[in-house]
Amino acid sequence: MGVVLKVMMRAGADTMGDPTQAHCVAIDARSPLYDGGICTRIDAVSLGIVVNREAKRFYDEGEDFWPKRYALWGRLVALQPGQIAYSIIDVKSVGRFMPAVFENIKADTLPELAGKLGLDPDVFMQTINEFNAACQPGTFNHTIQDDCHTKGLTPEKTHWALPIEKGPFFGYPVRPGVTFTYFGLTTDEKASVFFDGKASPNLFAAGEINAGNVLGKGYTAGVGMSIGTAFGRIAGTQAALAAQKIKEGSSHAIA
Amino acid sequence: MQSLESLTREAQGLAGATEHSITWHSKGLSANESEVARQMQICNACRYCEGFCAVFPAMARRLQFDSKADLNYLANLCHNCGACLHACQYAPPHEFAVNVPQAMAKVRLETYTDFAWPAAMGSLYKNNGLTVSLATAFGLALFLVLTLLVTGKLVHEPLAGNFYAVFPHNTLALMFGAVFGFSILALGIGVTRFWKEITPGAASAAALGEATHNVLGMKYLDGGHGQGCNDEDDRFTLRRRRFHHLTFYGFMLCFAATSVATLYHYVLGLQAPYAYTSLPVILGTVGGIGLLIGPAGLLWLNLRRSPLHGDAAQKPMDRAFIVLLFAVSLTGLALLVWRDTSYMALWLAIHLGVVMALFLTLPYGKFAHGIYRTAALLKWSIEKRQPNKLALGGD
Repeated sequence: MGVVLKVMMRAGADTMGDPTQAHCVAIDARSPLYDGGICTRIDAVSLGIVVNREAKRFYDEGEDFWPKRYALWGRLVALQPGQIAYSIIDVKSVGRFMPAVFENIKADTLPELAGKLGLDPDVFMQTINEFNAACQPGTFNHTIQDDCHTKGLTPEKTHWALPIEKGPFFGYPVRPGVTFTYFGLTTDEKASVFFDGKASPNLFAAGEINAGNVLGKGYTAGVGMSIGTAFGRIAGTQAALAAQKIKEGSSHAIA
Repeated sequence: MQSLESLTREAQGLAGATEHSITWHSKGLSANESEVARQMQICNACRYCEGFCAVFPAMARRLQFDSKADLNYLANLCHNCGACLHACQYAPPHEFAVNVPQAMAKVRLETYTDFAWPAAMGSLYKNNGLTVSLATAFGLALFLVLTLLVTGKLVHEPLAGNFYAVFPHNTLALMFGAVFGFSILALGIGVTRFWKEITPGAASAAALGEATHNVLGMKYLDGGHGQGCNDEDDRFTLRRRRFHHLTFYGFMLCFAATSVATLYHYVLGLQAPYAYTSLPVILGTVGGIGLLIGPAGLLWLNLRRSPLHGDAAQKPMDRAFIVLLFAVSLTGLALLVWRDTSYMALWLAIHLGVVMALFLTLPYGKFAHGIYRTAALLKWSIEKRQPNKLALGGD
């Protein structure tokens, strides 16, 4: 991965973007190394809690609807120790999120689930108990931003906070899945690659390698495809024009 | 023990659907059903194919794929159009190896086999090329021998197209009526049991109307976008749908010709042969031409189909049925052309032999796909009108 980018960097092409930013989705940790694709996403995050490998929560799972949180949660998991986290739900959430491609990890009790996930049962139970105690009464509705939230937790869960208490309990191991990074080659509106601040007359880049020129952080559905399509056309046109110019130049020289 | 088991199955087959249900479910998921379940779990987490056909929205109403009835329902809902395979990022060589049309095709053969009546006859679906060949040999031999027994020769003085000079009308009506009646009964029992297993609920007029429209228009060979399905590659074409229509409506016109002729005979007292300009002959001729072009086209497409589509082991069944339909119309038209010559009896025997083979194999061959698929499509039209218990949130 990134082979062409590395070749271009060695050749002295100008780079841009934050190497830590990417379109990075929270996916099942058991996914294939490459091309796991859309089906590996874990969609249960907003319904329960997410803990890191220390069995502690680290972000507001109820901040927004899950489909809008894909990009954020991939990066959040990437910043956790070991780049792994665990989405934990109880039986109440079954049928309220998009099915997962791999079987859930299931247990009748929470300590048993901690054991199966390789988490410290004592810390895990402390996290769960604190969360459950902080859940405020409300009217649960996972299709709107409801009023079920926690009070007195760090971090709070601001919507869809229901105590995790009714077995069986389920866990999904979550890892960051990189769709593409925002670190790439500097290009201009003609998709020209730059060397020492100067646009190359005959080298153009499009796709993942120049997406960072448009995207700084975050992600909107379809924007990666749009960048690829638009700059693909532009780069192709410019490359053809450059080739024509070279050809004309050489035939002129012969004449 | 094998014979005892088959006797038990037969007895249970005769006893009705409840016993059938018990034996069917006690078998657990077959390897092919488990493979469909594995693939559906992947598809249900992806859902990019929801616009292609009814399989994917039906799948999306489920979270688990552990029921034989559900898996057989989904399998028979699949038209093997190939659209999802060509669109799939998880198709081979991806390690998930998703090939929905192929997995579904393998389960469909199990549906036909498991629901066949009498149960022991279900094995005829396997090695179906042999089944159809033997039925054809039997049909041809039967009518050629009968012709010789009745007339003493195959070539005769011209009889002005009078078939009944060779075989009396009532003899033919009895023979074909009995075989056709049995075929309808066998298919009827099979599909009724299938219907009970997939527990569809009551059909509203709207559901019935939609299912009828989907069957008669072969809606799900349109690829979901109207440009058609895949044959040998990524390209969408309407060829398969059109050849299918020619075959289906050709078959129905031929059936209508026979029905009209039966009315002529019994109600109006008009005896065959009928003039070239009469309704039965026009219906039969137009239908026969459709039933020549349609199967010829389907065979051509079948030979060129992407090897990833469907189940290669079922190709003999597909092709045997296609060729048999082609032979029925070819010999029927030949009989029409030469009915005034010395070769009428010969062509009559050949045509009747081929038709007999078709009727005999209706409940134990490719014909069954239309019956079970119609049932699955009706269930889908009912199911989609029922409230969806799942609320998985938007995507």
